[in-house]
Amino acid sequence: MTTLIRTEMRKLTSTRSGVALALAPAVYTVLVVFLVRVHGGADEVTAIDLARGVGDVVPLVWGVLGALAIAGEIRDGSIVATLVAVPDRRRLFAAKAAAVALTAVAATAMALVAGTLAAASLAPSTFLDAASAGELAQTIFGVLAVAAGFAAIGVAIGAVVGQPTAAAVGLVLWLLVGERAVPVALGVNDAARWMPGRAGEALIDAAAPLPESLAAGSAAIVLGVVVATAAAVASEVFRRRDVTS
Amino acid sequence: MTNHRTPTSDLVVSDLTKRFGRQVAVDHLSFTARSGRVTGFVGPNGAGKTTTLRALLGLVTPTSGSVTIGGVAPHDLTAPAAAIGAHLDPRVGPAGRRVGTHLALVADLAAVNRHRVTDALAEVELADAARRRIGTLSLGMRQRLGLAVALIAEPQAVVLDEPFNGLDPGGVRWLRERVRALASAGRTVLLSSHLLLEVAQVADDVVMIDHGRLLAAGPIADLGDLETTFFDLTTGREP
Repeated sequence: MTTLIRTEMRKLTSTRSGVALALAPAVYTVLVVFLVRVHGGADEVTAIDLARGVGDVVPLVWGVLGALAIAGEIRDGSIVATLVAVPDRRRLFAAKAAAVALTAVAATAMALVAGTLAAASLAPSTFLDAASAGELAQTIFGVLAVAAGFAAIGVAIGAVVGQPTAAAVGLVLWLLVGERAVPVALGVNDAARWMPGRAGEALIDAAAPLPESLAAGSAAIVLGVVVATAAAVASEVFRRRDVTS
Repeated sequence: MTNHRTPTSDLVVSDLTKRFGRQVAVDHLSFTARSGRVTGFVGPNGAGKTTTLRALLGLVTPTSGSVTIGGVAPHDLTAPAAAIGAHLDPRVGPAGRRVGTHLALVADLAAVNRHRVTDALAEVELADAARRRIGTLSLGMRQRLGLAVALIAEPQAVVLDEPFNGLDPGGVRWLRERVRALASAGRTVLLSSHLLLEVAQVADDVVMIDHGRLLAAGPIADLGDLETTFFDLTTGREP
């Protein structure tokens, strides 16, 4: 299983688009730090702000990479060679989910380090001591957990949808629009905080939670249940899927 | 590549039926592709050839009936990559991935030593293209890469779907010789093609289907002129 996960991780960065996606959070974070500095606000950037900023993009980036990891392989035909070599589809699905989640955690950590170095070099006097170590650790843990969770959710969506564009667009629309619009449309505004994206936000903001957010423990349970359910459903759908193209 | 194989690599399709919704793609089809022989698999467009090949590889689940590779169902193979290799689709892999990287990833999945990457590229005469990205390859070169993927683990049986498409005359001759060499080494080769003259030149046995049903099967010498037999049995539909 370890070899399979390692191979799946190498697949993710075997194309320029994969590398670009993996580096996107780091580039985004450093860019934001510099833009804040250009606009004279670097003194107000704390380490927690930085981690939260990374947290804003990780569900989208890793969800999309996860969806492309499996649906892209179905589209480009390389899934045939993969399934001939690894016919146990549940094992393959688990390996892909683990590979994307591990890559997400590693690349998110890299983004945090890159952003930290950039911010510390621009405003060393205020940046490093602007947050308590405990709160910062809690925020970083939340960001990494959300990265891993949405990577797995992305793989699940990719396995179910099987078409990379539809899977990626669907995921983005859900996170940006669906999570807010659906509860309103159904007349249950309070349900929004139970959505996976909002639960992820609550996990990241655990050190300073918003009044309408779930508590960190509840948010972790919600995200965990969503990941487990999506993985179980997708693994079974993928096992039964006829690969016809 | 010269080892003789045991006759356990026969590909057996037994009473295979595959439906997609209400459409019957394969209808109670039975045949055997034997080791040490090239079996040509022919039929008009939409006859069910590709669905049958995909069922053999475990990519689609039979509605009824069974398929076996050396007597074992695809999902029960203990060393699947060593049992069967396949090239079904000239897309081969992501356009942005390098040829050598792609083959190395397939080798890792198949638990094959990396030195096979160099050997396989040399076998299909793509050694100079190892650093090129798949998207920059011609159709003929992608067909060669697909064959390298199929052969990376030196499998006992090889399934090829329309491998002659996109090859220039030199490439066609080269592939014909490669396919014959595989059978001579004791491997089972099941080759689907709509190029009847190519099938007639390379195959020992032929399986002919239409509407998912078996029309004829047996040694090519017993079928007479393949093209005439084909049009007689398929009432003139294009292969």
